[in-house]
Amino acid sequence: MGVAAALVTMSALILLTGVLLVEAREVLDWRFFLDPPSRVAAEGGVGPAVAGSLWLTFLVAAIAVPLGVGTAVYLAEYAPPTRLVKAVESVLTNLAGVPSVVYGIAGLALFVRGLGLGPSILAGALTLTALTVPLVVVNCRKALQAVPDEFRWAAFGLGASRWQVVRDQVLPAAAPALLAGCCAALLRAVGAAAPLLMLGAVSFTTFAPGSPNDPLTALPTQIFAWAARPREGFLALAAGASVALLLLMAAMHLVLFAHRRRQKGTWS
Amino acid sequence: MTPLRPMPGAATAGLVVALSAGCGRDAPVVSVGGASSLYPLSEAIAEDFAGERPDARIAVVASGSAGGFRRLCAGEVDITGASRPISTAESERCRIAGIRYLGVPIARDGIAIVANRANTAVQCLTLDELRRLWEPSGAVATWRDLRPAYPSEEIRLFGPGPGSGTFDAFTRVVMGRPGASRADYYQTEADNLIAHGVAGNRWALGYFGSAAFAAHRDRLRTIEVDTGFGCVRPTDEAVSAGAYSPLSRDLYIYVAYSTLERADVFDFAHHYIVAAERLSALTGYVPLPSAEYVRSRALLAGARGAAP
Repeated sequence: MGVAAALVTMSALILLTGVLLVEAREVLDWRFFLDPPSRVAAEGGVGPAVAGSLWLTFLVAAIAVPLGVGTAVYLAEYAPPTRLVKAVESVLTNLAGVPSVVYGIAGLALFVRGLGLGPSILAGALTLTALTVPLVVVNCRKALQAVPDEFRWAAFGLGASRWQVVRDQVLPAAAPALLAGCCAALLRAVGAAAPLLMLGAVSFTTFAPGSPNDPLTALPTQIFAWAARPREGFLALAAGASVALLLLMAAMHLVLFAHRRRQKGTWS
Repeated sequence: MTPLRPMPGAATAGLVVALSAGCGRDAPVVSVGGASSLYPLSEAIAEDFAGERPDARIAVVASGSAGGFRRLCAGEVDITGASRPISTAESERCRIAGIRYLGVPIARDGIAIVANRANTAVQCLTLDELRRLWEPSGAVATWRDLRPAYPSEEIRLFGPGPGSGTFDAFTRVVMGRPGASRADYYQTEADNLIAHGVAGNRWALGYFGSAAFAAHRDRLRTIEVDTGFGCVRPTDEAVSAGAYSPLSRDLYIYVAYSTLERADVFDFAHHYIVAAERLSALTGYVPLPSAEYVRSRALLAGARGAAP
């Protein structure tokens, strides 16, 4: 039964990748991943979109992971079970389920207009961070709660302080699950198109973004812009951009996988 | 047991570096927004300009005519394309925000009424029939309601919605006031989806800018329109010469005075006017008479001098 389910899932992934590769066969080459878009479909590339998505991934990871993991550690290890803390936990759980487009509307009002960041990479990163942090907290809190209490009691019994218990026992034990939780949350942010479209992501730039103040462009919004074009060639470009997005996500999975391999044997 | 490496610390340091890099002086970007019907032309001209000036940094986004004006008056874009002139309410908003702007015509486009290729019964509609078909009461349901000689098949309607300049122009010409339209039809800003809908139903009818028609020539056909002087098809010649009027409109770009002081914005706006004559045909639009472009260039040069 389990094997059958795994096979169905795997074949769906292989089918999806296969369809994309066939659709994109005419545009996929090295040039495609570096060049800017073009009005001539055959000459278009995803260079700026790839750079934009890398910027977004980096910025979101840099803000959301420390913030989210820190909050999760506080909630799981430090916070007394008061009514307020319980309320915060349930609010975060609900926020983690809010559709991403809603964050786009909030981001437009808050970051693009309120803080005057304009439709920039930074505004996009902050919006995606708002979307990612609740997910990181929810995932990481589960990871921390999965660490057996015996670990904590043993360390406390040896006279360790609470921070020592968290730093030397709980966090290392939960590290693989923490990493997986953060990675899952980041993948959702990397694949999000709706919130970025709300912010005013551009669909044609002559240059790759070189700083967070540059105009917002990313792979999901580029896919959307090309898929909406009537001419056939642009559909191939959309498929090609989808392949680039899958590659980016696969690279993130590889980092996770490599880290898990290294962790193996150190615990459990 | 491996001690936890200080990952969050490294990440935070990375963030600080990234943010401080971001706060440094960037090369400015010319941002272009506006009507989706003008997007292919803006894209073509931006690419053409970047070919001549590789250091130019241009970003184009499609936001609809109304969205483009809102962004222009919020200072979020330097130039916006529009498939209709700015409205009184929008120019008032710009005035309150302290943003002065220049609008110049760029190209001409017809509004094509399109039907399924399999529908050979309908060749030509009068403006009055179009009005009855699209009026807010929505009384016309079948082709026979429109003209007794037509089959009694239900008319499925497709078209752009409010916020689209094409919708504004169509309702202004056909209904007599912008925005008056029945609402029980498939509304979308994407010409592509309108074409797809009409191509999928033999008795469907839709309308969009005639520039978009070329891409769907094999699936759709245009309906001739009779404005009292005989039936006219929206060919390039008819649109350019004004024979398809009043179902044609001019497309504009609007530039904020304040950003014209920047050399890259001025040069790009100038290039837009110069290249529009050559590139508008490539994107399906009809170029304006040359004298119009000469006048627009003079207006642009004057606006730069007049900037406060």
